[in-house]
Amino acid sequence: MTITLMFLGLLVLLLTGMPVFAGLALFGAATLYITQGELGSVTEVIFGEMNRYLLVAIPLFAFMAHVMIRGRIVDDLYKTAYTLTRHLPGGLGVATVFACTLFAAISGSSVATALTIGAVAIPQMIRFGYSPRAAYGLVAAGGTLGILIPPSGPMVLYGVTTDTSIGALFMAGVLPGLLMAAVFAVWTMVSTALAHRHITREPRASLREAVAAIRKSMWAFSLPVFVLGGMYAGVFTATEAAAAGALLALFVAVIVYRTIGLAAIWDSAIDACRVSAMLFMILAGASVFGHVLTKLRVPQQIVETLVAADIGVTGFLIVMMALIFVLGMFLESIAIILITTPVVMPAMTHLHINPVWYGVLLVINLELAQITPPVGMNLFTIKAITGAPIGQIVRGAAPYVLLMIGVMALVMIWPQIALWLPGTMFTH
Amino acid sequence: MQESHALRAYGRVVAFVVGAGMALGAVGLLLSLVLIAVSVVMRYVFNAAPVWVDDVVGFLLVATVMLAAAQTLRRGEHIGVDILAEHLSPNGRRWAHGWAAIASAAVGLLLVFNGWGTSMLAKSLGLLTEGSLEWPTWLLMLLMPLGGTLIVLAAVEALWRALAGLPPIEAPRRDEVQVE
Repeated sequence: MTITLMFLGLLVLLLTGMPVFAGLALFGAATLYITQGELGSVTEVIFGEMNRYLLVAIPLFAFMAHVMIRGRIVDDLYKTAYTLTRHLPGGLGVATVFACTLFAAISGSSVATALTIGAVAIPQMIRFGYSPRAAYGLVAAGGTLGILIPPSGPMVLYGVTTDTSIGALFMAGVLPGLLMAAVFAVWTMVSTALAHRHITREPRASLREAVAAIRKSMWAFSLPVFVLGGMYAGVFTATEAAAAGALLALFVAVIVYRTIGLAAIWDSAIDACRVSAMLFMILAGASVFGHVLTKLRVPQQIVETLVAADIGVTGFLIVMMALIFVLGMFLESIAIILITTPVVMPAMTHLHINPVWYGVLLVINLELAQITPPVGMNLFTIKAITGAPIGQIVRGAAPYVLLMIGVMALVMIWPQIALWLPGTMFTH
Repeated sequence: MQESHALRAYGRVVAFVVGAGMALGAVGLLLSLVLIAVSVVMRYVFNAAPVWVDDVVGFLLVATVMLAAAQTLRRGEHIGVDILAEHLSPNGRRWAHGWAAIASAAVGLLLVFNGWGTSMLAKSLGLLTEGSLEWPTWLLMLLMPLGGTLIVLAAVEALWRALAGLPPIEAPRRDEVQVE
């Protein structure tokens, strides 16, 4: 009862519109003061949570993505994808999914993926006869691949919070991410064949055309291969991979493409700092909140409740995924990770749940949070770039919500979809 | 509503101070990038990985966040749940912005007073950081009250603007958005 009231109190506080970091920190500090009679050294807790080498991967991946975008290295991705898929039914839609998948492997962000690909893909899809609703829904959903396909900011935070290998988490996201992309592509092909019969298919690209298209995007393709390959082979840690990726992006943008100078590099660093400040201030607030939960033995109480209820692994996962789905309608994904994960970790340990598996399920659920109203970052992104009514975007994204729940169920039933690849890593 | 001279002057000072903080944060981030690159090269080429890099990069991250947080707050870029606030009347939204500013200022003050106390306690105990560097903890802990001070400065400006009936300062529109 106390736990429920605490979480409800926090939710009410956050709904007043204050920054999430402030809500978490103030609620945590107030509860700490009321229950313990003093605040203790809460800033030491905050310092300790932020002072982690592994977390530096997040701003460095953000820096890498901003350099790639400013350096116009990713500009040809969509054209390349369309050249390769234009002969398929719904070829433009499939190209959009393909481009989202590739951009996800560069940016690590759902919003950045939806924004960058959406700005090019949506006008093009509508021009070719797709309904606006279908175009909005596809880009909103395709953009969510940004946090499942590595690199992924939420996975880094989850890995640090649970002390799980970030390399293993990244690898675990690859197959479910590709599966999700394949499901989206098949759905696009089927729905286009059924509902958009008037859309003509273009002839298959010749080998020469295909090779030329791939060559145009070669550097954009090479970056994820370099970053993920380096981690898979055990050459780099996640943080080192982020730094190496950032340096490769700088090399390509400055030396190969010659599209950016010192000013753009500086702006990219500033943008990466903004991202760090936004994310890690939530981490600061969540560390105060988490500190008070630990003091009040909330995680232990949850374990005891679970033991008494005897719901087993499947029951636990279903309850958690349902809870996170509901939270995802209101809260931002980073806050959800930082609020729920420390609380459920002891329960996961008690039930012998593989944290890598749970991490992938969690991230798929957070993808859903990006496209479920009333708070869905990708829905807002599509609205920002198209000016379309939010209801139309929500309706467009609705089929993808069901598809994503389906993929989440598959990963829950067959954990090997997530766990096979990390199991083959050299550093395993 | 017209911006008063006092508010405009205060806003300029805050913009300069938090902007400088952001710039220092960016320097910290680029320095981390260089240090990690050097560390990888040292490990693979010279078989002599500098063990202190991990510690320094961790400290630099804290510095980056603490120095950059106020600028993000000033430009209204911190993530918040505004589904209720956006349905309020203009006057109601003004109060919501004021409330958010008060909450941010409270966190800033928490960082200032609790951070200062913790830092001075660490100094009196002569605590050193764990790991290879063994730097004085209290010096690093001062990043918390420093960041808190910047946050308070930005939050006071936001509150002042809300009370004066002025809209919050917004980040300029950009072609690309933040990467999570």
